[in-house]
Amino acid sequence: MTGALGVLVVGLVLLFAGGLAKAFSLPLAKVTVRTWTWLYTAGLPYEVKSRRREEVSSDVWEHESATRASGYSPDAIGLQIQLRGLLGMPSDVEWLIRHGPVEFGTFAALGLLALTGIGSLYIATFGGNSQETLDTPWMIVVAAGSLSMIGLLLLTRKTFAAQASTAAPPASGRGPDYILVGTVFGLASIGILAMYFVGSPLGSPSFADPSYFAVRQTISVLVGMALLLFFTRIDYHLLRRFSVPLMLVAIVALVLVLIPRVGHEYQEYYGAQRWLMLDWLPPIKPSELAKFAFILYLASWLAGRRSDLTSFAKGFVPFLSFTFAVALLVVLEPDSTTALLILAASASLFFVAGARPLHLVGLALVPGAAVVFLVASGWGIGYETNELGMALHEGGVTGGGLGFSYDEFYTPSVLSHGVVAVIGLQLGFVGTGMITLLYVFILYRALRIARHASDDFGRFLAFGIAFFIASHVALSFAGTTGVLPLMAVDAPFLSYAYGSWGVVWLFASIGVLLNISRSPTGLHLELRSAGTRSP
Amino acid sequence: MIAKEIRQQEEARLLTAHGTLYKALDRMENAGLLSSRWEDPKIGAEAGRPRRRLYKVTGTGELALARYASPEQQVAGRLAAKPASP
Repeated sequence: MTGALGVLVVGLVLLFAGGLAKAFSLPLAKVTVRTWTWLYTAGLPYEVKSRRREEVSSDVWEHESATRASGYSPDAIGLQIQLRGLLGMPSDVEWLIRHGPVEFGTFAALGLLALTGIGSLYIATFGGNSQETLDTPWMIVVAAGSLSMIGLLLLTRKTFAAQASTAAPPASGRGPDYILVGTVFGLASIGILAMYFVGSPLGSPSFADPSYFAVRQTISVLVGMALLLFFTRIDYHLLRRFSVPLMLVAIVALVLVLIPRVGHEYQEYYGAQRWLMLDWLPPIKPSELAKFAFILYLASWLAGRRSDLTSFAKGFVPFLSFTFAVALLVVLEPDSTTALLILAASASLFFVAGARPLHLVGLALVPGAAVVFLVASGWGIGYETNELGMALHEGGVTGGGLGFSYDEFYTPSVLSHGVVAVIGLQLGFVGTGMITLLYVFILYRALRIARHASDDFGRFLAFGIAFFIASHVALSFAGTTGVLPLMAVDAPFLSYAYGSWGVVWLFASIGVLLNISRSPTGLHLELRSAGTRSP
Repeated sequence: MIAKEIRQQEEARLLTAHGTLYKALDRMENAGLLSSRWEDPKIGAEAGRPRRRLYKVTGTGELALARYASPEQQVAGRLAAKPASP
């Protein structure tokens, strides 16, 4: 959308320039001015849009008739009109940013985010492997990424403040956001395809069945889709009642996993106690549960005391102590990455909900300190990052084609958190670029759902989910391309996720988003009034 | 017509670019210096032209104008004297 708009703008500017060079014909001038006006008013409310369009067309008409009466030639008039349109363009854009819908700013921020993702892939794919020479481009990537995220946070905060606890009039007959489901399904299918074509190199020597991974990934996605459908049908206000019990369960699980012989090491994560083993369930990773429980709890908590959020004693202190307690339990496992994700998501949610910016400056020191701590504790670029970077590099522009591989690249762990590199190897920069756009599009739809939600709880929950998924994508991309050290974060919907609880909360939270995107029914309204009394 | 008037003022010429002009009018209207309405569409139809947006300087606008004694005053003064259209 932003891209198409950009192309149109460039096209129009060229047309203007062409018009200037080519006899300044009057009809051309009128068409360009009209098209430009039509274009920059396109996204605005009907009244604003039609007023500006009519005013300009009246202006052009009056200009022509007055100048013709004074004896100007049509070419001279064409030039005048052309110039008036051209010189006014910067003001038009400024006017649009000020009066236009939040969408405009959101598009700009999301566009920058997409460029950041594609830029980092570009550097990783074509920039060679020596990390040292790439410091400056990486810094630009990190700066652009942070800038777009900050932009999105500010815009969302502004929108939420304007909507403060007003229940939007229920739009009748609004169905769930099918476009979002389609995009998620598309990403999941790409993941399955990539795994299917990995089949031979990985499947045959270690695993008898060449479609071993594809089959298991399909099962995970189907389970995920079932959950998605389930949560689409469950009113999200009902979840609010479970927010406290779920958080308690998560905290108990986080404590249990720290107890020797109860918490288990698992697979390649030696030295970390992150798993609870139960015979009849896949191994449980409490920090995965904590992520979702925490977002749900926080959204409910924030929606319940919106007026206290600017208070130091009633807003900031409880928020900070609770967030720290959860993050500390996760750090003790140790699972610093998840702790970082929880801190980032909770601080962002607190900010858009209307916390005092001064408090957040203090809070920003926390993730900062966490990063310094992690880097200091030997969190360097390891063997695997270079492996993933090499795969992207090898893939080049269009990749080696589906099924392309070199020996011994694929391991199950590469299929989980390195799946973007796997796609880069097979489909190249074109494939990974498309994946980036799909992710940015998912973020756009999710933020849109948050903006259109009918109450504070819905807004905060949708934003929390959106931002959480986005931070997973960001860390996964950063790790794969080498912008940041590899943190083994899975790429949502895409990574090999068989037997992982990550799939459960991920698809379930998309289901919750879809439910928020639906129009409220009588049941919704009843539950909402009941829900405001619970914390 | 506002555009025509301004064009005749050398220093204010830049204002006549469409974007600049309508942004300025928009701001002045939001600030309460101007009020505007659409001309009766019949008048436009009879004259065979698109209907005009009619701007009028408000009381606040005239007060604000009185505080600034500058060449711009002449333009605005003339606008104030009669209902004008862009």
